[in-house]
Amino acid sequence: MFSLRFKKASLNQYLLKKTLQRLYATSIKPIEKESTSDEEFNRELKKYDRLTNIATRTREKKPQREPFVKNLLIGQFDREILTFPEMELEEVRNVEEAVEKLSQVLQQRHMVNVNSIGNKNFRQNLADHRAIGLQSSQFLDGRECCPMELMRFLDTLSEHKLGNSLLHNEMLGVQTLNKFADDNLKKKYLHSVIKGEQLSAFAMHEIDVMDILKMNTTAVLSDDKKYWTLNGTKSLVVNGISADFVIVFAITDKAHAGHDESNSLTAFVVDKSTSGVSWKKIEPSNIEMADITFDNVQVPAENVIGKVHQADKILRSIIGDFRLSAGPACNAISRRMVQNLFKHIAELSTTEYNLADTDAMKSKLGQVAMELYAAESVTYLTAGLQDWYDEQDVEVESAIVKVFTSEAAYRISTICLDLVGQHATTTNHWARQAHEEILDYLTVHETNESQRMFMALNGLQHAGINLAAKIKRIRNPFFNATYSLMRIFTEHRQNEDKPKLDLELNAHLHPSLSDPSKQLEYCVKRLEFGTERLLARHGIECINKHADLRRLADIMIDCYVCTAVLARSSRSYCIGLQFADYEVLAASIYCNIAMERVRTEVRNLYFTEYKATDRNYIAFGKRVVQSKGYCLTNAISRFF
Amino acid sequence: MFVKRLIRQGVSIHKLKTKSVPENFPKRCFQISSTQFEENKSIKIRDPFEDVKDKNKDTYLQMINIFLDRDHVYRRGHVEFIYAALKHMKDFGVHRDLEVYRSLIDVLPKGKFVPQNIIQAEFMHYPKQQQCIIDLLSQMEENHVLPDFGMEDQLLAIFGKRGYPVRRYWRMMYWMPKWKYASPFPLPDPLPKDTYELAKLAIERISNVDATNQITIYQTGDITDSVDDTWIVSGQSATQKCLLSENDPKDPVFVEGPFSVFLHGNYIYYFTLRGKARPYDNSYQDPDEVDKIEANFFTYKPPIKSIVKTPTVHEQEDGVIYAVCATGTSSKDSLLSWIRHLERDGNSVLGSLPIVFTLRTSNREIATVETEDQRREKENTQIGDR
Repeated sequence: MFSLRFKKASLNQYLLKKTLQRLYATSIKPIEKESTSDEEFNRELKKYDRLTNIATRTREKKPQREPFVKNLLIGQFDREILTFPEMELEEVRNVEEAVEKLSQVLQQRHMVNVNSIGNKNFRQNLADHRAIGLQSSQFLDGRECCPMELMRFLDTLSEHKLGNSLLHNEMLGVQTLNKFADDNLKKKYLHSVIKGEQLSAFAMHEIDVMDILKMNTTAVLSDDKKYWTLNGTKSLVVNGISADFVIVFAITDKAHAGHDESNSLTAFVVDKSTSGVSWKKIEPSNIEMADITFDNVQVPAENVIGKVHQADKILRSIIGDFRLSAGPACNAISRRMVQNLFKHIAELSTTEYNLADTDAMKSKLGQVAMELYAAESVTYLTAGLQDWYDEQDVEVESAIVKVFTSEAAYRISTICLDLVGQHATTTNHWARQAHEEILDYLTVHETNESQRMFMALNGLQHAGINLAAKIKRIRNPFFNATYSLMRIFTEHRQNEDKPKLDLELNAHLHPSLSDPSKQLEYCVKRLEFGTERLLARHGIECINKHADLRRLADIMIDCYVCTAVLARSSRSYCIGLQFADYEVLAASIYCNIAMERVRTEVRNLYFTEYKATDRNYIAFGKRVVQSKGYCLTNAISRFF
Repeated sequence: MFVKRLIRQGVSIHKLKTKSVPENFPKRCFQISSTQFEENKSIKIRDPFEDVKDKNKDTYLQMINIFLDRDHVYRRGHVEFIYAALKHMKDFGVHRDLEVYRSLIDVLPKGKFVPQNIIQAEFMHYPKQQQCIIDLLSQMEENHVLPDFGMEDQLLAIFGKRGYPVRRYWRMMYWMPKWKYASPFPLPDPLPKDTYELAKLAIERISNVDATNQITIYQTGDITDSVDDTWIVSGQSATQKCLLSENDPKDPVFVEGPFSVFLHGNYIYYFTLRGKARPYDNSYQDPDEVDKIEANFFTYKPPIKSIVKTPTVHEQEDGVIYAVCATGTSSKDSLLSWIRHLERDGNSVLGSLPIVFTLRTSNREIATVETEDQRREKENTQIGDR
């Protein structure tokens, strides 16, 4: 785990040497740089005023664990996860202090009134409080946050109305440079971004291209291998107007494009001042977006990020983290909505008629609070997994965070609109604005629908590898007669929807959470059963059963969120946090709802051929396709 | 004999004795059926419907009125009249008109044919009359004319609730609405008379097997060397364009036809552009191999996995259909223009492919939509022959 040691480093040579070695340890520069003389050390030193304040973190991550959610599909529950990841007390205090300061800064009038991320003063103000480059090296004036700290900072940043823009700059632009760029690029671009002087944009998407690996933007290396010629149009580039440089992904190896996942993409840093770059604002939208066109733009060869043809690895890592970062952003909006909703209800309450005391309002307030609690739990659990375990696979978990938090925020916003009612008819009302803000998280970049497919497929891939032999036996009953007959008896409890709950999760939780933990066990068992059913029934063609995949993804989400709320509330209750009893209440509500939902979902998977709604939806949809639209006659028509 | 009449006519039999049929009244003044017409050529038949000059709904209804007015006291020969009227419906263009059928039924007297007792009811009271109306209802059904509820009242008044025509009517009212929209290839009702519109409908129907199909209208006049000046309705989908571009340049493509497609009674000639059949790949992936599921990180579209290489609907056993068309003249020249148009319209590969025209003797007419005049002329000559 972490132990955070603050040392007021005196300017002794030893420390200096050590830190600079550390700086160059990840460098891809030629080796001779390492053997620089002491004078050069001193010169380097002057660049870094804050060297004396550098906090060294001795990272002792636990060894990597098996992917949690993927393993749920084969019925393996990693009970270790039920100890909710936490930070050291010292770390927490430092973060809370920094966050407090940042929050105060963001609430100052000159910061609140900023409407564009293009405002340099705004960015530099943030940079003064080290709020840009949260995960970057401290030598570049970053903060080197661990994932859980990052979540806390992003949460605070998202309270500002430019939160989404800041998030894109931080998680896409800065992180790409931070993780993959070489030292020259870092010095040239990353440092100025962290200082607030420049702004980055991340150009990956193209309109009408549904598969990123089949994008139309191409780059060709010149004969003298000095520059690349870039051509194409990128759309929906967030911060595309104000940005000073753009990180562009382009196909550089046409032979492999679209066929081979690797070996085709390359990432470039392109200055927007380069000739041939033109942009057009997308209006109207809540968040600054632009279409950027590259027309024979010459990019110097040293502006390639990472390795040539290997940018898909960059994307995989950056997008994974970006999905996770949608969690704190949506939670911040949700929290604001809950606060505003209470304020609104309190304003309407009078002594004769205390609206806030009616069941109608209390039940809804309880519901939104529970949603927010679940969304927070799942965000921090995922960050904690990244934080605690070395190279932990949280692909699916990150996608779950994105889907769940954005949808929870959406549900909260509709509840707010319902309760606020006529006041929200004006477009500048908070409820309506929050609702539209949430829509950005549901529509920009990846949709939750595609995320669900992603989750389910990754889960099935993992399950398929582990269950291949078993599925083969189930699918060929005549070759495995005894096995098939035995399954009648071994599977009868699952077939009757009464799985045996033998995971003993309650042994890892506070006793007051024993009942909800049984409900989670039920969900996990049914997920395993549903997965097996799906694979056994359709074999490898289960990929085509999108309605079932969607249901499977929903079950995965419910299982993971249940785990998160149980783990968090158990921890809070055990260490006696304020209102921990209500956390337990929230957890039990969530598990209760989730269990009922999972029961229905699995039934729908199970009965898919006979009475599930999906099959009938598909049949109806087929008719709509054939008729090229809604085809039913109106309700009053008759012909005899 | 008497018992038989008693059963048929019930207690009203005593009336028959008092009635006498005038001897000079022609036994048959209307033709009953065509078979009789063929067999008994010696009988001179007078068919008033044939003599009508201006055949339309008004004159048809007039004919009925004349019949009703002629002897409204002892109305005789209803059945023969109705059969004759039914036979000529198409000539008057009223075969799809419900009102006409209702006025034909109205010819029969009300109340007279209603059975008075259980025996009459059971043994088809007035069988000839009942059968006549059943035939009328059958003809309605053949012409897809859905009866209305007023007709039920008429039939009940004529034959009573035990009558066979009423039962037939009830069955029709049960089934006909159910069949009305059963066709998977619905056509507009009424069907357009214009061959151009019909050709468009036909080509649309043929090519809607592929969702990406596109119907394009070309004019032969746009091609410089063309002789004909007519239209071409061409159907080609994006898939077909793609298939055509993959055609081996050594293999010729064939323009074949004419084939016919029927739209209700009318048939349309159409032509196809066909290439050599593609080899069929019979290999497939074992669906049990669940350890080979691919999960893509970046795709936003729902993934699709096919364990066999399914050929497109255009790849048939005898060849690959690249396009279909119908032209205004069905002439070889217009087909040549079609090929030229296709070449211009994104199929540049056609310029380099050998194209073989394997046409059967094509008619000049694309469709046989007979006009009223033509039909009458034809029938007149037939009658003249007899």
